[in-house]
Amino acid sequence: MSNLADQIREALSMFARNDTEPALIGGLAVVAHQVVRATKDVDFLVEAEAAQKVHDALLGLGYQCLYRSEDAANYVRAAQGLDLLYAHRPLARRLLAQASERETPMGRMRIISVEGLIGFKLQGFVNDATRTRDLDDIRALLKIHRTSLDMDELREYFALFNQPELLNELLG
Amino acid sequence: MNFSDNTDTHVETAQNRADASAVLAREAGVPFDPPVGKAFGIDPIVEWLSLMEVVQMLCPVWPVRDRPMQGNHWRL
Repeated sequence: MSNLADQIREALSMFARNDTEPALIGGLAVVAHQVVRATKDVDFLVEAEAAQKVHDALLGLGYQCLYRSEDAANYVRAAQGLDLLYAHRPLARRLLAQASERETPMGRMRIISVEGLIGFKLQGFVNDATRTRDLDDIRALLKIHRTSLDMDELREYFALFNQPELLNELLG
Repeated sequence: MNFSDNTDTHVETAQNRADASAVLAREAGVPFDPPVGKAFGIDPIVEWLSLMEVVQMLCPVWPVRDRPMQGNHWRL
């Protein structure tokens, strides 16, 4: 198994030891939703209440904290990165609660819905417009899942970030 | 890594290529939209692991984040 898979497996064990059930978000969640592309982004959505114990556990595993706020944290360990978003607003809490469980080669993990993933990708792009990869991911997810997406939920996310026209643009 | 040669799959794949728009690097630039998903018996995470094995061989040192997340628009 690759170093990357080992890193994810180790993170999942750490979460389990700390009685927290995160949801996979970011590039790897894009993969889990059938857009297979190269990525080493290991991103999890974690309940905000678990932030401190997860922080301590990651430091214990040798990670260094690059940044931490009430919304997000970035950790690195040599060539490995791990990012956390904290669910403390109602929408993120709902998305975390609704994440679906899946058996993977790295172990059982919860994965955020396609709609929620698009919402977080949009948030990433609005926060940093140089992250055009986020728009490419949204476009690819819309293309693959178009017939099954909850469009009302998606419109809610695009309205939240004052980008209602962007959704139509991405849908083509 | 698993190198399989399923002729039926290849024939079907070739038929799909005419309509495909996605380009997968490991397919040497040949347009190919992989039929991923439960219905096709292909797990995207297994596919990703296989892809990343090759990526890590070609690019053993992948740039890690060197600056924190940007922005003030945290609304989710």
